[in-house]
Formats: sequence, structure tokens, C-alpha cells
Amino acid sequence: MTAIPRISANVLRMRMMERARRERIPMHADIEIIATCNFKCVHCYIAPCAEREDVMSLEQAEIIFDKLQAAGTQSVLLTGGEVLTHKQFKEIYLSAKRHGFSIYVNTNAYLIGTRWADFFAEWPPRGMSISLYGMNPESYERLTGIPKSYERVMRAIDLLLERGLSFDLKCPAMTITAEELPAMQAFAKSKGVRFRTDFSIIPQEKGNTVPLQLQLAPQDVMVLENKLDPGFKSFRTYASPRVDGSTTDSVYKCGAGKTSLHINVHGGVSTCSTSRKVVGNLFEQTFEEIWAALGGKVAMKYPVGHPCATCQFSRICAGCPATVEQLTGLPTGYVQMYCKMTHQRAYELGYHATGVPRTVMEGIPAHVVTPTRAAARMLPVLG
Amino acid sequence: MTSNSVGAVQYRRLDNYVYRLTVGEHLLVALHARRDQPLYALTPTGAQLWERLAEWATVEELTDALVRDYEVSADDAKQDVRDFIDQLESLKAIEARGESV
Repeated sequence: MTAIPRISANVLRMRMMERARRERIPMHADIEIIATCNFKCVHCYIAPCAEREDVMSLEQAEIIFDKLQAAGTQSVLLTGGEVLTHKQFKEIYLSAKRHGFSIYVNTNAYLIGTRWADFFAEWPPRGMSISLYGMNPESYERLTGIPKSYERVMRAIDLLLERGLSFDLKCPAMTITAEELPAMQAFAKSKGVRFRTDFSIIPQEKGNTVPLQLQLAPQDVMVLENKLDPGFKSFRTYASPRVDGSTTDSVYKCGAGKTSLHINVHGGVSTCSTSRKVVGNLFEQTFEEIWAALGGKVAMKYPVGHPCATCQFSRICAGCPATVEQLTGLPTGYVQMYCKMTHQRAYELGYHATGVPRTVMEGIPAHVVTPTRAAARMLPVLG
Repeated sequence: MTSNSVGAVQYRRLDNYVYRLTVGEHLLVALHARRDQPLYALTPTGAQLWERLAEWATVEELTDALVRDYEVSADDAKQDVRDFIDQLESLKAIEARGESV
């Protein structure tokens, strides 16, 4: 008997993830503990709709922790809004620790001074993700709407690094950030941390489509992807096992609703943070009821004739059921902008002869739902 | 067995780790550790010993518990317990009191 077998934490996590996939165990949960924020970002889909009362109390968080613990959840992401503006953040964080969860934290880092940095050094999260919004004070403040936000976030980054804490930096790729993204990537590299970006902008939670004005057009996405990942080298490695000629009519190909879930500030459960369509409420229903409802949702198939059902590039698609749901109202909708981005990627990688989706030539089947009129009005004009 | 031997070292777990049984794994989660190794997997017997270490216990008492619940010789069980205690001490997951006899 070896009571503590010598096994790395990563191997252990992979072993657990394999079993979680097989048995559909909710290994990870995003928990939105506050919807309000101290930034006023123009692209945000949560905070502009938030009211002062959109805050999860410690007692409510603990109800959720207890239910997740019983369901087998291993890690939680505490997210917002801005989590550090939550008056009970420390209590909620430490309660999650004592429940035995590995904890991830999303923050804009504006409030991280010496005291918060010391707190995280004493009680380190498994991971932290910091939003970065520019590489100089002017661009930063133009996006966040908050004076001194650049200086304060830069100082927070140094305070965390001085204490040996690890984190990612991330910034959405938008018309107003595109130019500075390569500099942000270089900055992250100089600090020895990972940089991530995402090309999908979605409407605000209550339907306002204004953020979609910031969506980059497919041709601009390609130019930017090539700058950030010259020759699509990293993406090529990612795509290689995923583009094998096979197709699937399953809508959800990720772990959403299978090994993970999202819980909003009122206990509403959805597949992930991008999807705002809740299937149940953890304050009113059992976890089992909600997990079953989520299972039904993520088991859905595309209707016959849907372009995505026969697409061999669906596993490297620029969109996902959640972003499509936000733009069309249904996870089974169809967004030609994503299709164009994806086929362009496939062309750049040598998987596709022209990079032009079939729907450009043949049209979109009439029974397939496309972006709502309000969303379509804001999205970039497609070439 | 020497369950209550005078002067025997007793051990008790510290509160800087949390035990969880999840996705079929008996996990010891470090509350203060950095990214490198905040998770440890215990064997089922290790998990049983960890539960027992909620209260002060000697190697002999832990050995008794194993012999009672598993088909294992006292000598083998005692060696396993000693190894486990060594591992937990290296993780700073337990405290000790008393002196070796």
C-alpha cells in the first residue's frame, strides 16, 4: 500500500477528467458572485445590465458550494462583474477553499494592492485571469471608462508576480483593441505569463446589441490571428487532430453541460458563461434536476439540412453554440460570420480549397435560424 | 498492540489540507500550496487513516484500525502506517506530540 501514490497533479486531473467525461460528472463550475463592476467597459455583456442587488451572499454561495461538492465538482471559477468589489469576497473565497475546491478567479485587478496580493499569496488560487484592456493609459481608460485604470492594473500585475502568483492575461479582440493586441501579447510574454484573446463579441444580457459594433470582420480576424500566431503555427497544432474529415450533428462538442456548468448571481444555471439562457435555479431546485435539464440541452442535434451538421471544420469553428445562441436565440442557429472565419482558417491551414463556405454559393436553408434583426444590424458587413 | 502506551508519539492532522472524495478519487487538497502540487490522491486506506487522524492517534492505534478492517498482517500494516505518517509529515499535513519510546 502506498497511501499517497507518487502521481503529478496534472496526471491526476487528466484521470479525473476522463472519468468525468465518461460519467458526465460536473468537474468544474463557473460561479458569478456579483454582476456589477467598477469598470464601464463598452463591450461588456453583464455589468451594463446589472443592478445593485445583483450580488450573491455568502450564505447563497455556500448553498451552491454544498450542492457542487456533493455532485463531485473539483474546481470553481469565481467570476463577475468584478469579484473584488464583493464585500464578502474573502469569506466566499475561503469557504470555497474549505469546501476543497481548486479555485480560479477572474478579475480586472484594479483593486489589487498590497493587501489583496498578500491575501492571494497566503491563500493562492489554482489560477487567476486578469483582463487587460490596452498598453497605454489613454487606450485603457477609453475602454474601461475609469481614470488610472492602466497604472493600477500594471502595478497589480507586478505585485502578484513579486509574490510568485501565476495568472493569465486576456483581452477580447475587437475593433478598438485589435491594434494593440500584439503589444499586449508581447507584454504578457515579457512577464512570463500566458495571453489569451477571443474573437466573439456577444450582445448584452438583456438584449442590447450595441457591443456587436465592436465585432471584427472575418478578414480582419484572419489578419490579426496571423499577427498573433505567425503562420497559424499554434492553431495548426490545435487543429490537426480536430479536422479529420469526420462530421457530427451534435451541437455541443465542448464540455459545457457535460463536465462543467455556469451559475449566475441569482442561482440560475446555464451551460457556460457565454450562454445566459438558464435551465433551472440552484436556490429552488435540486442539483440533479438541473443537471438533467442541462444534459437534455447539450444532447441536442442539428436539424436535417443544417450547414453545421455536415461541416468537417466544426471542431475549429470560430463560433460555438453559446455565441450562436446569443446572436440568433437558439444554439442551433447559424451565423455566417463565424462560418466565414472558420472556412478562412481552414483555407489558411490548407484544409479547404477556397475558404468560401457552401452557404455563400447555395444560400442558407430557410428552416435554419439566423441572427436576429437587431444583431444583424450591428454585425460587420460581410465581404 | 500498544494502543495507549505511555510516551508514544501521537499524530493529528492539521487544517491546512482538505480531504474530498470526488470523481472516484480520494483527494487531499492543499489550502496554501502554489500551482505545482496542490492536489494529492490518497489510496482508500490512506483516506481511512486521514479520517482517523482527525483525533490524536499513535502508529499502533492506526495499525489496529487497518488490521481490523483489511486482511493485512500487523507487521505490514505498521510499516504502511509509518510510511504514510512520513509522507504526511513531509507535506506538513500533520502535527505530532509526545516522545518516541
